[in-house]
Amino acid sequence: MDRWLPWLAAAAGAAVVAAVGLAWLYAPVEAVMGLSQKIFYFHVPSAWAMYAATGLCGIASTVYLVTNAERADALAAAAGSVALLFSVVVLVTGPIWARAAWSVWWRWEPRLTTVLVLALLLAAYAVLRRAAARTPRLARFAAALAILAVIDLPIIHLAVRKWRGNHPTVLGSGGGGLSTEMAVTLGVGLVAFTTLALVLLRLRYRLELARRELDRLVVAAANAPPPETRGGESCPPKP
Amino acid sequence: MSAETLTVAAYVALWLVLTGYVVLLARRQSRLEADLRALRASQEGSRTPSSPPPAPAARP
Repeated sequence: MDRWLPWLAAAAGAAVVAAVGLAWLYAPVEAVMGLSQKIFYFHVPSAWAMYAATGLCGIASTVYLVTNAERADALAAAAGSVALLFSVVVLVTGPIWARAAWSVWWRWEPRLTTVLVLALLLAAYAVLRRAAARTPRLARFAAALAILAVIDLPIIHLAVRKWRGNHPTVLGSGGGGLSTEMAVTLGVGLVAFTTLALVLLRLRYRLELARRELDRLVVAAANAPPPETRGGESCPPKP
Repeated sequence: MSAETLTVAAYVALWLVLTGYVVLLARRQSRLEADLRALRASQEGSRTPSSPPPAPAARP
């Protein structure tokens, strides 16, 4: 995977540039919302990346809780970090669009509120993960929190339909009405942000594994006997 | 604020957030590499009989 990472990163960068270019130059200006509708071309892909990364974080956390596999815990940490990143993108760009469309920055409507709850859960998860680097048993609490965050995903998805919020439904039945140009632009955006999320996930995962390895080396070096007794039989190693 | 300004602001915010995250990852990576170098140097030093073994790199 690491051999392909630079190529994947280049492809992600090119795809994001292409998606932005299509959004500005190819997709038509929407009749009702006007230019601000172009925010959707990365707001929706960011939300998708947030969903996917949160789901992966939950699955990896479940695997960690069941098997105690350290790699699963590292993957959950990486996915949680990427999910938090895209939740920030969603929560920054959403209100900017809302200001243009609704004339207010924020409404306490179901989808916005449930996404905010998810972002807060992911932020709490990140804080817990930081603490778990020093206190390893906290990793299990972090894993439980990640599973709690996953439970929020279907609630976010169904919020618009069940509680009749103001948030537009872009994808799926009952929403959309996108022209071909808009659908193509959104499709390119989805591919671009999925690739970008994969690259960031891989980088963050590699970093997490390297940090753990370094921590192990530091502990081993600290516990190693002094050089004059190393290998000698006169002084037994510490228990 | 006009829709044009808000749309451009949203795109700028996207780039800022993504770039900030990549910079954060790069900084962590370089800090890890520095810690690893310090650890290796301390281990090399501890193998030299004439010099006292330096303390291992402290993790923040």
